[in-house]
Amino acid sequence: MTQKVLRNDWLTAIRLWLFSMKKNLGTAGLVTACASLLCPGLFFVNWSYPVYETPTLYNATDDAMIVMTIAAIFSCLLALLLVCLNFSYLYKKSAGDLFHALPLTRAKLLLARFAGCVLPALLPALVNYAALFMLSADRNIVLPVSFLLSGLALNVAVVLCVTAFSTIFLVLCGTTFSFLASFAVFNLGIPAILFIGDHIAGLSLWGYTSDMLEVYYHCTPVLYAGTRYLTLYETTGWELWMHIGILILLTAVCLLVSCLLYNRRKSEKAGNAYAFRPVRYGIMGITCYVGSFVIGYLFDSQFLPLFWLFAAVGSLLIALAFGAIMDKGFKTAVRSLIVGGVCFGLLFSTFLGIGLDVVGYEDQLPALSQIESVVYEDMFGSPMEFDDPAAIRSLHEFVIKRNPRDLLKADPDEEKYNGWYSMDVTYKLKNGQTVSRSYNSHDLTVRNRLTAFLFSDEYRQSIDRLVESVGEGHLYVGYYIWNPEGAYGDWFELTLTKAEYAQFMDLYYSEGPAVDQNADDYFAQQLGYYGKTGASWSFHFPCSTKTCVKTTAYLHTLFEAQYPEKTQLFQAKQANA
Amino acid sequence: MIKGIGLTKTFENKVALDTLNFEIEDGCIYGLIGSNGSGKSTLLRLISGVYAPDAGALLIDGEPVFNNPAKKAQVAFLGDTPYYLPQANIKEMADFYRQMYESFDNKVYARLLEIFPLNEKMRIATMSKGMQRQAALILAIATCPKILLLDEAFDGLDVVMRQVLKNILIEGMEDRQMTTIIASHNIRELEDLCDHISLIHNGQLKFNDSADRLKGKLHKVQIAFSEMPPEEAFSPLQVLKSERTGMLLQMVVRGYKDEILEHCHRLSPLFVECIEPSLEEMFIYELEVAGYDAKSLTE
Repeated sequence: MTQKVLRNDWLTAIRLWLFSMKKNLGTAGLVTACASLLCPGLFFVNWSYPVYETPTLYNATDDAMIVMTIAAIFSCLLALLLVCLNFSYLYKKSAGDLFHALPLTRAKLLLARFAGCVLPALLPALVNYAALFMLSADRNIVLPVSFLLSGLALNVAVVLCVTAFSTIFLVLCGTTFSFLASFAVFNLGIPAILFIGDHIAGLSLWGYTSDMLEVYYHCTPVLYAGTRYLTLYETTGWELWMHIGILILLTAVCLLVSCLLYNRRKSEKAGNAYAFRPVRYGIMGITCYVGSFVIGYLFDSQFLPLFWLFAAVGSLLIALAFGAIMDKGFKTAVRSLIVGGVCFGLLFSTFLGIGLDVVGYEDQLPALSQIESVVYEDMFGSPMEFDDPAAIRSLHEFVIKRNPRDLLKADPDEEKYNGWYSMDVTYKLKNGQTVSRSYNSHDLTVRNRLTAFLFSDEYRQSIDRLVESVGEGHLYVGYYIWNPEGAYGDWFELTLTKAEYAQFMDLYYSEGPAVDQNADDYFAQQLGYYGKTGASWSFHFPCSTKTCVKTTAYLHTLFEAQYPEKTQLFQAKQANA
Repeated sequence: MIKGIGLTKTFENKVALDTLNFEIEDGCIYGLIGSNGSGKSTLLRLISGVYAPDAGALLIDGEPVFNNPAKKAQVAFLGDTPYYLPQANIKEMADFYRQMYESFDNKVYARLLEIFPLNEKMRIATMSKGMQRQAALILAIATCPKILLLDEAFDGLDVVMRQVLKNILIEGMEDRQMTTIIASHNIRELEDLCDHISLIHNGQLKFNDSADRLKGKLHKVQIAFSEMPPEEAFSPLQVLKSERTGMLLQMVVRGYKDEILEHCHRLSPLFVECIEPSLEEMFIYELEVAGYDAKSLTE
């Protein structure tokens, strides 16, 4: 018997990878078989009808998207199951003795086990993609191979990224339960914290526009990896491949972090809830913060004192329960209570900070020199892009100064609260960023100011430019036929040529802005367009029978020309009356 | 050679090994004895590279073991609770070891399977404790390690199997200079097997020497006087324990027999007798000195 010295531990790592993969194939095969009953199995059974009933080509990309998304979900879940099984040696002393004594560095041990999980985890995806590739060969089905290939590449990248991110948690935790709990708390808790902040800001900040979707998508690697599936078909080639590239990079970073942490991880921590103490308090903190808000909200959704009472009690109880579950006892109860208290304090501070608008969000207005363009929308019509942002900015400044909080302090006899208005502004800045605000209130002063803007040259010119640019489609104006009794009558869509449009606008703008929305004969003339490409917009011009005499008369002549039978009917009714 | 230099390992607030310094020569069978929680298993895990030392160094042939695949490939560690891959039988476990250790020898494996009468295809989880231990020994020894670490190696083995194991270990030492380190509570098992013995208590080495030399270093002395000399008369001797019954004095003395007898004769006793204690008795005496004895623990 001779002692041989291992020279190349890479070879051992590869052998361990192959061995692990072989061991995982059974589990992966079982999960794949179960998953296949649902997808592609059940899905294709139900899906086959439209294919055969459609006489011409059937576009299957939307349906394929569903299959691809489900396949990715199955693969990710299987990957998480396999990493749990394959890294369970970290949490069991005797198993740790076996694996940590192997002639491998820790980094190679981790990489071999990781690779041994990832490839079998792709099995459900591969089965689904194989089915889709077979479908794409059918001449009656539109399903581009390039689309499937990019989906498959994205699927592989997503599984790699999610699994690599999970290995960080595997190394940080000391039991399978704490791993699963922490992984779930992190990936759901971070978006929940953002949602809480978003919710509070929406309630507290005047003009707040929730444009957090992108932030939600990017807040954890798992969400970042998965969300691209939602827009896979719309995503252009380079964008998708860049996303895949970022996921691969993220995988590498996660693995590097895992290896560094693993090198510092003490084998003897197996069985403890966490191998690194700060992680425990981080996860506990997220749980307390979110749980405290939820418990408070359950008892009082108005954020009155009852909310705070239950949020405080909830935070402390959650911290205590978290510590007790992780320690299997109350030996760290005092520390847990401190964490609970701190989390409640953070929640309170968040409310206070946002409620008092400590960052001055409500008063923020981009400098004119920073603005490249602005999109404006109010209660009168569709969003409209203004090349010259000065008028909109000035309008916005006016609205900011009419902050309802200031109005509350003002004299209530001013009767400023009877004019409803809405206004959305989105500035595109020269540095590529966007600033959005949305206002919705009852303030007659602002309402009058917005109405005045409707009659401004800037507004008219912007609509003119919009009409000039329309392609093939239908330009129309809405026209009310008043009942002889004076009540609202029928509404007709009058087709406009560009010349008729110009005359309509000249007449309307010549009759002035005096409009009282509370008047009995108040109504709005709707100018609209819908094109063959799907583009559409509409604007409303406030009118009354007293102020829009010439405009109404002109529209009536158009009505008579376009609806002669209805005109006769109307005239007969009028005569009878 | 295995060398520990200021080796320290701490768990939370407990010091498991406290600045340990030792050397273990190649090709010996080294017995590691100690009380419960004394640090024996911790030391084995440090030697196998499972644990990293908190301070000091653990070197094999001058190189640290932790995260060093070349050194870890030379070590086979069999813990007190052997672990087997889920649902595995001996054949599958042997496949695993074969992949992981290039030194795995199929001939040795086949021979061990003949010596230990186990069914290669039987699931290990369904085996008895003793059979599981035999399976673990087969796998560990078949890797033909340079250093074999056994924690409670004889636990669960019957008398015959114990003797078989001893023979295999001796064979390994003679054939390929294999160093075996056995941690155990069962001192009698080690007494006739180990050529070196260490006693570890509270993370510190109480003694570390060859078995022969150890036995010669501690003696039980019975001495009778017509008139008992003062206590100072015995001060040149290193008395670990003494008990007086009338004119008869019983002592446990650290030192060589000749030196002890020479000193005793100078005190003109009526009768003097110097007996070599067993390893187990030595273990008990040393631990008594360290304050670890049944009497003091139950009081």
